[in-house]
Amino acid sequence: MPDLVVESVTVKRGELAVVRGVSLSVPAGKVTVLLGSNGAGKSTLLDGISGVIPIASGKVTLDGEPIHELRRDRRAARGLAYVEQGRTIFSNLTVLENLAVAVKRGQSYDDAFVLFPELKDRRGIRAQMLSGGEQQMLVLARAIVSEPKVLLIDEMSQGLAPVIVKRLLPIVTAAADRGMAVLLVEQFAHLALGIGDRASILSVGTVVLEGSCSDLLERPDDVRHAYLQGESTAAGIEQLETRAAAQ
Amino acid sequence: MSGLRRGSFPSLLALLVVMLVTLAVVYPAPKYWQYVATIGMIQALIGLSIGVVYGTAGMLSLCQVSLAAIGSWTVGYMTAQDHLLGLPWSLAVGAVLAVPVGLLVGLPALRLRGVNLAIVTLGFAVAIYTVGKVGEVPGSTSDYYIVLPRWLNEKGAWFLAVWVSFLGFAAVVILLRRSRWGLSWLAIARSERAAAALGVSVFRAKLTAFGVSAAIAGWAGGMLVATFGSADPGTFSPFQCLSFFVLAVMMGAGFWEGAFALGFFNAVSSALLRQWNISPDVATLLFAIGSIQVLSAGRGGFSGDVRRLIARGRKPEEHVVELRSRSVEGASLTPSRRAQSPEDASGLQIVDLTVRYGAVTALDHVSFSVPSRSIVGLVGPNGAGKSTLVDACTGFIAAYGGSVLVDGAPQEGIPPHRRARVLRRTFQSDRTVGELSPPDYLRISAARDVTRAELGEILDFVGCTATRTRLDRLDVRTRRLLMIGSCLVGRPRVALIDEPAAGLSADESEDLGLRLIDIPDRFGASVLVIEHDMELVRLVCPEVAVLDFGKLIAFDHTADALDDPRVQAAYLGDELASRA
Amino acid sequence: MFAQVLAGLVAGGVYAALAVCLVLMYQMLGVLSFAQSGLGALGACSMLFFQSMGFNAWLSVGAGILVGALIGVVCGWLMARYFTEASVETRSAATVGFLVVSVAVGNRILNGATYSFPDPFGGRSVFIAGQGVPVSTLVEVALAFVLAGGVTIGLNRTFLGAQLRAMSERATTAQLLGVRVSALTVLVWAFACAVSTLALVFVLPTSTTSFPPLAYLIVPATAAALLGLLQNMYLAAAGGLFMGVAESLVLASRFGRYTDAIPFLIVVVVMIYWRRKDVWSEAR
Repeated sequence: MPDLVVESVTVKRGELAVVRGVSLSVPAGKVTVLLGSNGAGKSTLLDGISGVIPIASGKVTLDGEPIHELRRDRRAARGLAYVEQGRTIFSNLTVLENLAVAVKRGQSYDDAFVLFPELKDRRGIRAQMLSGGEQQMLVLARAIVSEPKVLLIDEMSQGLAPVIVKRLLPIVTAAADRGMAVLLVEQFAHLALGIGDRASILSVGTVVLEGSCSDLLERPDDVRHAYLQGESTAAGIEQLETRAAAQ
Repeated sequence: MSGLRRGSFPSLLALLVVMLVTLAVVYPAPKYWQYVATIGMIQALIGLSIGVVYGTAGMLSLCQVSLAAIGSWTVGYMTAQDHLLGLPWSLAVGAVLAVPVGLLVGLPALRLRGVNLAIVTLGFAVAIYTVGKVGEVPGSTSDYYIVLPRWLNEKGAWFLAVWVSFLGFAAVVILLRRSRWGLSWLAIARSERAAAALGVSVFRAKLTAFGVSAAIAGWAGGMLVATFGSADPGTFSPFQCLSFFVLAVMMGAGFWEGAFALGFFNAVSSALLRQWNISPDVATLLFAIGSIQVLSAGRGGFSGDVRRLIARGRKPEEHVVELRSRSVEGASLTPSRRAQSPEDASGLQIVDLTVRYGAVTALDHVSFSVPSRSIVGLVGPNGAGKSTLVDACTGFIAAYGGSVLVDGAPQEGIPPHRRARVLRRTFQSDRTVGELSPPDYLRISAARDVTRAELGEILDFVGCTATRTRLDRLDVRTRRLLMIGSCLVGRPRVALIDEPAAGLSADESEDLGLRLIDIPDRFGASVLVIEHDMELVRLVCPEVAVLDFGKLIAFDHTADALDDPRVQAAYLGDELASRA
Repeated sequence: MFAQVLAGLVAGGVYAALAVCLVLMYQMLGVLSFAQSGLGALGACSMLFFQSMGFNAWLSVGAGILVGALIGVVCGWLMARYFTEASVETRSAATVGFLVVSVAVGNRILNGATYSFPDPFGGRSVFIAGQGVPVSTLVEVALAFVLAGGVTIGLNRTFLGAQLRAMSERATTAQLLGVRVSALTVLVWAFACAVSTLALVFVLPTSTTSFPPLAYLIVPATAAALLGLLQNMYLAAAGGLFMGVAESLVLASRFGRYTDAIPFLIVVVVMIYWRRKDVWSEAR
């Protein structure tokens, strides 16, 4: 399975560069974690990788092939799956139809139903009737069912009770175990560091700290400092706010 | 009032300058060009009318030109056919008569939105055109000729009359835009729910927009028929309605300069095409294509471009955010409860609140209260019914069981914008009005005129130093706090704050929490905070209500409630339960 | 009176077919196309060109429909390219631009001369209860309902339909899942314009001297779509027939000269009644 490589990517929202010269490697079979406080640029980076926003400069390659000039649906065809923030289900479609839209010819839902038996029980139900946790499961299942090579996940835990998040995290690990290159974005460090392999911390659009997750778990002060970097001066605060405004 | 005048001053000055230049150029010019300019200026008035109802209030009304027809019929009848009233009095009557017709069109707007309204107004345009063609309404036939009175027939006099009209109406629109009427128009253009939650009467905002635009259109129609001498129905045909709409979009007629540009470009292009013997359809075609381009770019057309150029020349406002922190202020981790005697009915009381959506019970006989001048948290897992509770309290749910009382007064039967006088809420998503500056945004949500001192107090409470910058250029934290501030400027008895910390960093959340703590003492309100962020809840709320599947499963001192095993099982998960 | 009712089906059939197209486009693409009848009329006018080249009636109609589909492709491409992130109101306002363009162009084509349009049914009529009803009218009415039924089934039972419904709800997410949103947008526009052309073909009178009335068929058509609450294609089709019959009855009465005002009156009355409980039902 191929690796996803992000090289010196800059992503702008309007005229403001929210992500500046970020380089990142998302190897196959591992969970790479991307952390950072609100406004750091994590979602913007994922939007750039997936094609929701065109990147201003830099390269994104999958298995060595550049994908940053492709349209969104072509990137999906190449094997990129993006679980966006906010549980983007198709509320008027049934669970099965939600999965059907994602699945490619010759693929089946069996896998998804094994991982999420709750969805199998509700497959004829319209997606808007599901609870928040079930909707997040549906979004994950929808991403996994297309057997992607790369899985991008943006703040899966937002708005969910911890008991449900605990249910979902092993799925992320299982995805990596199958060979997918997983990039997991989270605002809450401890959740992600627990299952990740390597982590990068983004602050004000650039990577300020990088290392193995087990290592970072031993250095909570460094992690906290990395989150706060750039806020120690007034100019830094201003930069942070304007970048947050641009999101 | 002074803030109002100061804000409108640049626009008024620019208007005056442009108009004086126009006068200087056109007044001495030969009759033909005066005639062209006269028509252009009247068309600019029509553009102004479309600008009010669509450009500002965001309502897709496709029939403004038809309202001009009402004015033309009035003038035709009163001045030419029956010699009842001379110009300019018949113009005034025409404008006045157009208003009830405009309001009649506005009535469907109260129930229909967006494209539905467009359909109705287009049908109306065809209906008026039909009535005009039939000719039974007095003044709608073209078998009369209006002769201008001597004093208006002098060289340049009629142009001057039209010139004064545009200057007057444009000035009125500029002033109205920053008055509470105009601010309410901008608010409903964005989000009707949010506008109602701010205390804006959506009903009144829509009707005033239609009324004002109808008056302008009626006056313009009267002037048009007086210029031509008479008018056939084709002048006010549906095609004209659509062409003007398309032009108004392209020029950004919500602002006076867009309306002016509309008249200018239309007049110039038709004169030029006539000189070169090219069919006017070509101009129409080009303007239509232009409007499509403008809509796709989404940047407000001609006037949007002009304003952006001007803004680029200005220095951006310095806005530095200073976050408050506990390490500096030393707030205790567990705030104390405020004592309240059981007979005291002040604050918010929720009694037996029940909401059902078909077979689903979203809220099941929930009862608790938020005593006056205190803060209570509302927590619970996703789908527990927290937002439903806020919707019910603020009047956005038509039918619910039980009762919501503020200071002992039941709120049932009171519509949202009136409940907003005592009960205010924020929304989870950003429902601020992006084009406004913080002071303007705060002014909409006060139910009355506020002094600069009061505005200053809210801005200080929020920690916002920007007074000129548009809201959509400020950071998320400031916008979030301004949304809370907009609740407080109305001095409500109760503020319902829905997930204020969502997406904020830890430091910003702490800053938010410290400011929330100040609300009861500083503004005299009770606060109900809905949150997922437990640290914020522990900082801010002495008591917390816990919902799960629509039922209230706990209401207690925060530390005790969060330790309750039922609460932990439902919400916090076994991880924390095992740690207890 | 029966004669008037049957006569009303002529116009009613077009309104019905157009209304179904409008509902389809509104639901799938989030746009209310004010230009639908104008664009269809342009396609129908192209038949004149083919007729003058010697094609017979059926071939001219077929070629005209192709032209209509092509016009749809162009509009769909513009919409997909420039208006994907825009609101429903903005997109619909853009179609007002399309409408104005179609009238400006159409005026050039039908510049006052008299034309006779090809009738594939050769003007044949069927006799119902002693009244003559043109075959084309019956086909038109049938077309509207077949269309409504076919599209509804297609949307709910086919894979393409699921993709369309997904796209109509969240275009970006659908794209991220591999759904080719631009292609589908163009497809729906082409389909709708082809159907609109066909609908107009069956109603074009033997001689037409001006283009605008054809473009303004959109007024009763949108009114009919509104009667279907912009959701239900069957109701929209029925609404179209109702509109046509009502106009025909009014035409024969002493208010005959006010016939064109009927759509407005019907829509206002029905909407005020239908939506009388609505206050905050829409998310806005």
